[in-house]
Amino acid sequence: MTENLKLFDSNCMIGVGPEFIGSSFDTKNSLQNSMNYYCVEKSITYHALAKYHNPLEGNSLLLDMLGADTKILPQWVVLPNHTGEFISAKILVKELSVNAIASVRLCPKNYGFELRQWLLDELLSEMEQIRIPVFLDLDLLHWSDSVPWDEIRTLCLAYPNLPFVLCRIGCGSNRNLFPLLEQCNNLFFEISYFDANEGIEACTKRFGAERMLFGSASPTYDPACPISMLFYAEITQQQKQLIAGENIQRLIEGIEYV
Amino acid sequence: MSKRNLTNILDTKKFNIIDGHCHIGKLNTFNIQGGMMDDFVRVMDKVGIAKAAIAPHLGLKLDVKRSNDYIAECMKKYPDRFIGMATINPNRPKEIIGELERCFDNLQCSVIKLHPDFFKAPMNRPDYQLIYDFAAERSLPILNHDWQSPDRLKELATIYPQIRFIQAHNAGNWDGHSEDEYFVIAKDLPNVYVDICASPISYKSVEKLVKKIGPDKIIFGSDAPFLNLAFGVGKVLFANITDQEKQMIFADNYLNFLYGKAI
Repeated sequence: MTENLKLFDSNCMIGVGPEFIGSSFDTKNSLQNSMNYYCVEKSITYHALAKYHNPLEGNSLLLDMLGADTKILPQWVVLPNHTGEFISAKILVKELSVNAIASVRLCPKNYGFELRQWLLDELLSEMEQIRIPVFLDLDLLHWSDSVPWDEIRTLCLAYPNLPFVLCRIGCGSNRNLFPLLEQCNNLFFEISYFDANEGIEACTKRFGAERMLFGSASPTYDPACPISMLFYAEITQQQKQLIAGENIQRLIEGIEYV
Repeated sequence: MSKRNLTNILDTKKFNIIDGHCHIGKLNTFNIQGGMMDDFVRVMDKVGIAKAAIAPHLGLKLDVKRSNDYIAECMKKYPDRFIGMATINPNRPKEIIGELERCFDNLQCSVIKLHPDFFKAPMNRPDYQLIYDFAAERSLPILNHDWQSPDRLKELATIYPQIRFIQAHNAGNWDGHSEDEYFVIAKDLPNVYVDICASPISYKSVEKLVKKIGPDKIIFGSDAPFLNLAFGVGKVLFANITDQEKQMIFADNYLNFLYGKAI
């Protein structure tokens, strides 16, 4: 019998989102209610405006909404600053530290930049110094959407001490994902959309349970699905708990703020 | 308020669950771990699924005879665990009736499964008439990946009240506010259902759908092993609806679809 899991949601959004799919958490209270409903104990949360409108504005709103909270940890959406519209990578590191940001998020599709080392080097070099997890949000809406596997591989190999977390990787990914996991020990993925038949079992068998993170992608998508999938996965309870929350906790504890 | 508990919420033992939209076997498009009959039954047992309606991936766009033979093998090895969905190749109209007769007279199939997208055979082709006439004569149910036109489905369901129809997929990822004409048809016509087999699954889509059209025309489907069976079952188990409504979605409505209670 599967025991209860301590769920730590690595992929959650607050604020008014696009709502062409799913809903929004307009308030912190609505997010908390949803966490309680789905038995989620902790979450990492970014702001919808940070992803879909302006990172500086959204990141600031996020801190205002969350306040000091040990259960809902903030994630900032970040941009390379070649245009001067964000903040320099060095200042960003200080701001991340001061505000105890638990991870950062790159949204290349929403902000129209390439996932290339020549434009991300300054940013990612600084992120690597503090080993803050970098979530790669490619805005994947369907399992058939193309994923820039080669670019992801290049970045993982270029910054080997930087944990990268792929978001919303779907059921059609195994043939590209497995060799990438094999080659890049710093690559992780969250399972909100990993609805591959026996996919969690296969990944656990080949790479261990340490490379997968529970994520819900709520309130756009239904947390029920990845929770149920993890609950019924044919792996040990200990492996389930790693995926449910211990892996993301370990990555956060690995951040080296000065 | 007592703390909610995953083990209780995700307990499938209190329900009779029939998965009304499954496949079986391998696929070229992407890697499927396991997926053949023995693995599939093991996964069904693990998740708590009593029966699954299956149409092999092979029969969705290629060799329907080989596919339908595999269904028969599955049902022979695992009696009472599978419901056979006969696949038909619309690109070989001369073989349609013969294959339908073989599936329903010899192979114990119960449902006709259509996949116009994979076969690249749009639903406005006149050859589909052969299938409707066969289904009407025997009062058979039809699951279609996509009827491609709500008006066409409405017309068919009106002309053939003895056929039960499923429009697949739309309902599983409903955003909760846009209008979907298939929902209107399912609500209005006794012989039309929608299934909640989808990828991805939007936030609380099942309870929003129950509010929209009621619980009696919604059929549970997971698309396994194309998708993950447990991933699919979670959206119903977690939905903020009654256990009775969940049971309707999990099996009762499917039995009406299968045997035609609504007619």
